[in-house]
Amino acid sequence: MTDKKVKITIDGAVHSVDKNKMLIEITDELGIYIPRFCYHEKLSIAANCRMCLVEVENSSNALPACATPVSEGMVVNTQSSSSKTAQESTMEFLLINHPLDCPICDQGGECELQDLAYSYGKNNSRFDLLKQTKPNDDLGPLVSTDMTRCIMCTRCVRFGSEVAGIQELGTIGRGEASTISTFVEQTVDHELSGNIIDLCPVGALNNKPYRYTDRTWELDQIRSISPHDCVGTNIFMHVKNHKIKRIVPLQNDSINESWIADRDRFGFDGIYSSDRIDAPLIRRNGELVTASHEDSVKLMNEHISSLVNANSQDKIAALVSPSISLNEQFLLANYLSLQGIKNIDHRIHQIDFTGDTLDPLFPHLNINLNEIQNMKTILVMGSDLRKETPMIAHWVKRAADNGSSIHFIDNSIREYHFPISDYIMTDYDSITENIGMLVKAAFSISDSFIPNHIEDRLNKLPEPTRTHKQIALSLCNNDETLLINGLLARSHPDFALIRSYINILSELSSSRIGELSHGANSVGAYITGCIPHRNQLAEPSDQGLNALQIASSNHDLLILYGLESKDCLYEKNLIESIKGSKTVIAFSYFEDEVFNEYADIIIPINTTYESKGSFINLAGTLQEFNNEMMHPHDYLSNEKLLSDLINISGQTLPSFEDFLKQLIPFIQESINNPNYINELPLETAEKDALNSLNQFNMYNLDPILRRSKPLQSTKESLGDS
Amino acid sequence: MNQLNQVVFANIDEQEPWTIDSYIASGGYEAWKNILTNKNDSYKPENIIETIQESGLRGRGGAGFPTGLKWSFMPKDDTQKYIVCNSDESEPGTCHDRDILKLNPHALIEGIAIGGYAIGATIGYNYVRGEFMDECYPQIENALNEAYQHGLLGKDINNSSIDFDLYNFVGAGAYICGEETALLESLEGKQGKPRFKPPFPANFGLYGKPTTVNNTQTLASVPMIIKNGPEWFKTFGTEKSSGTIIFSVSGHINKPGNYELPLGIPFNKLIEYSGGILDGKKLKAVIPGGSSTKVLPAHIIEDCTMDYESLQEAGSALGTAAVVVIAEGTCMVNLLKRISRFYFAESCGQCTPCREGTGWLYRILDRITNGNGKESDLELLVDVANRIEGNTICAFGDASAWPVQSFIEHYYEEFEYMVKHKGKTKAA
Repeated sequence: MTDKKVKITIDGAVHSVDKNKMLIEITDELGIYIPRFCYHEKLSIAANCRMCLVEVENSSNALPACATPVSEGMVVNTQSSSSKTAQESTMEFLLINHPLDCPICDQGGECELQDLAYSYGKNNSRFDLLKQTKPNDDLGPLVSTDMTRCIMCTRCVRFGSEVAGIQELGTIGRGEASTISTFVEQTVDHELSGNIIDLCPVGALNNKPYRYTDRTWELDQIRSISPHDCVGTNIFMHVKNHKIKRIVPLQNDSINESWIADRDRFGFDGIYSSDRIDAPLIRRNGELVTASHEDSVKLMNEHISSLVNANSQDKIAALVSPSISLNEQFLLANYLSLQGIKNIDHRIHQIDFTGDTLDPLFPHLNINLNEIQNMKTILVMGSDLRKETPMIAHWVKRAADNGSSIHFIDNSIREYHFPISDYIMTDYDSITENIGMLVKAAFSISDSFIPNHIEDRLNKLPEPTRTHKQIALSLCNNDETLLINGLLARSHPDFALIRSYINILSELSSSRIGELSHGANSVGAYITGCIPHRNQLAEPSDQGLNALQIASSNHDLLILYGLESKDCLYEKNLIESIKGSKTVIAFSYFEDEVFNEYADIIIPINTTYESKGSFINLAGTLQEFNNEMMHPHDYLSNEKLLSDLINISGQTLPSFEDFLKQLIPFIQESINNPNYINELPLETAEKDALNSLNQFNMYNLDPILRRSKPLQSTKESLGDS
Repeated sequence: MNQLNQVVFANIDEQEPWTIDSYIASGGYEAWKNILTNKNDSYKPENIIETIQESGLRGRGGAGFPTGLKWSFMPKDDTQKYIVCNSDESEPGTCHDRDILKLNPHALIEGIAIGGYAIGATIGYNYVRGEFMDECYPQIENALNEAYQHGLLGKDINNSSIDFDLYNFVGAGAYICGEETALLESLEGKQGKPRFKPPFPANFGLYGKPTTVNNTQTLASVPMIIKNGPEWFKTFGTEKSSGTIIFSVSGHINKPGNYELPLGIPFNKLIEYSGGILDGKKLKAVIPGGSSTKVLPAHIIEDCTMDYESLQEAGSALGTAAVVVIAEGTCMVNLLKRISRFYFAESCGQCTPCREGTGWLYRILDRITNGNGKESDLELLVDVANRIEGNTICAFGDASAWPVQSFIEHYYEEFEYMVKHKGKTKAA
């Protein structure tokens, strides 16, 4: 026995347990249940509900297990009559003012109060006075309120102040009149606010879109991965009659803890939009008409093989969504490369491709998400972090709460709810220059040799300010440091130069580089070869057209997979290309006005909410999902569709299993040896006034989110007015 | 021999005792000046704590915890520490801190400074009850300014290398802020809701730093103890309840008011000092230490001496020494209803039993006095009170339960009579 352990007796059995833990943590580990409402393992201790009171010998009163540290020789009786009396007393007090109308409450069946009332409540009530009612607040389109049901456990309040960082809800009033409210009437707008629905143990805060649609015990639960960003948030889909009814978090402490972003929770609504398409459409005499699967596959093959046979592969181009599954990316990339087609890209949010040769093997974080909290210094560059990746913003907040210094270089002052050490606010163009000045400061701190060509470049920059020096010092002097390269930087006209500066900075300060990427599976897109400059597993390839070049020229055949023109940073260019290309094949989830007008073949595909497949998140974790039960009958999977195309073209279907065998070592190797190339790009991109990304709407990232009614009703989507 | 006003109010009969000149003329600030000049070893912090421990001074805020022992809990490292004076005097019946703030503010300031020095705090806060805004706050604030003008507070006071700054702070009038951790929350600008313990304020207090919270009367007693020594203080009172205490006598009494008397004084003697029962009536009962303590019927209290041990033995507590005198003819049901309404209105709402239970208790009592009581209500009242007692974060739950338990224990027939006679009182 070490000094980190103490011996305690619980219900007559002696246990050697970890010191410095609360009794309830120990009993939870041992599988001994103590009832609770206010306690939540991810939140601070409140000890206010008094449900977890247990008898501890030598204490005159029952003690709350959630707030009682274990100590040597402690004797606890969780089943004694004094424990039971204390718990039953609390239950009676909770119920006197709580409505006893569980059958009409949306929480019924998954209510912690209801569950515990079976064990600790009575069949009859001694309270024969009038019950209290409380007014409801309108918290916006996502969370419904029924405050009369509230038991004042304050989990939602603590979530706001501790996890979200902004206390959108608080307790007001005193005694019996206490209530949870926003005080000044407003909605809950934080990107993680939906989590208070899961935290609320009773029916006071509920899922507004889901409310009163189904009873929870009729739902099936499917594990899945959220497709709306590169984090790979783990979710449970609650399903009835092959339809998703709601989504809740699946706890994964190395990715998303117990939380999911609102877009992970409410985004799925988009797949039930009325403009989903379910049959292939072929343009005949200018009109789109329904066709069979076989006919459409045959027609596609005819278009492609005629060009391939004429050695005109360079007249074919494909743009692919960064959010499709690894399996689709693999088949699609193989289908095209087997026929010698090089023009394929998924980087529809990138303008500057001059650094392609300096690209890492794939964009990644270099560490696991939960390790972000251990970083001593984090510098975030060109990122609207909370909107781009709410979960990474959450982990960065954790680091800040742990006392790390967090620095930002950004083109706008954004609201972060944690202490920030330095914030360099500059215009969008000057982000590059400011990172360069940081490199300059880091060179003088580290006293390293500066190669001539870099020195020439740096000499043209202004001298670093005190703030630049401070940030550089913080990076150089600390051991665990992380440079986060955000999505705004990725869409920057100087992206290549920005990344080169970051690579140099990383070497000078021994910092890790965390690159954020668009969509759910940019990592997979790089590895499967959905890029014009490399093949599968980063094998060299002849250079094809990049996304911007594809969108800015006309082709004999343009293939679009899983994306709409609105998803593209250069939407106007892409629309012109769709108009000007001879044949356009769109694999799409939804009807789209541009496709309706100009596409020649429209093929319906399944969203990942309805498919089997996998994503690789930006920490390099391959996560599988199987959502095939969303289909009541046999259905045509995207994989089958793509396999049919490969088969009909006369090529051999490549083995996904063989690919997977090489994949995991490849990812490990690349993450452990990131091999950042410390070269500056030779040329800079043309800075024509392409749509630079100043506004980042977190609910307009993909065709599904754009069609989610709850998300489109939020302040984020509607604007403040 | 007149035993009145020997410690805290020793200078109370001087001309304008609240001015610094008057206070100094009667020997005030002597102890503090001796500390500042480091006169001898007895003025070292650890020796001051020892002196207070030897004197047997116990907290006058209600719980009666030994003050010197409380001071000794403070860590000895060099982190920032605070001393906080609890002038949030709100216990119904209690009004002695009000007179200290008004009439002898310098004794308090000197006491806070000495206490702060002893525990290693360089900053003190005096949390004054919101309702004292007009009456006491100007007095204590004025006294504080005087003390600064006389160079008795501040940084490196009189080149002594001792720092001590004191601030007065006015609360917003919540009873619960008299609970020391709720007071700290309120002082930090948050809602006044008690914190769960452990950790105790000595480890995690104001702004998370080690903090000692003492009552006004406790701290105002300190200068005289340091000046005259612990043995002198122990000449007053009993062995376990040494010194004097200010009794706030109210209710059916001829001369209600504050009487500083040695602890252990017989109850009847206290009534004598206060001019006897109003209108020559017979004594019915006494709440001996503020509304939270248990009521004692006349035949019990008349045999008691007024100190911690005797009243505890009798089944109640000395509390804040706010003696509420109840004469024959008083309806105990109505009195309890009034007390319960207070606790119903003042519950902070944090813990379930107190939030839900105090309202339940009050409403049952309300319906009994309205003639709608049920026979089962008396059992229910006691059971609800029992279920609140001991099950909450702070002692407020107990304070709301004890009156109910003791009133029904001692005056069951009155409650029963009222239930059976549709709200008619037996007392009249």
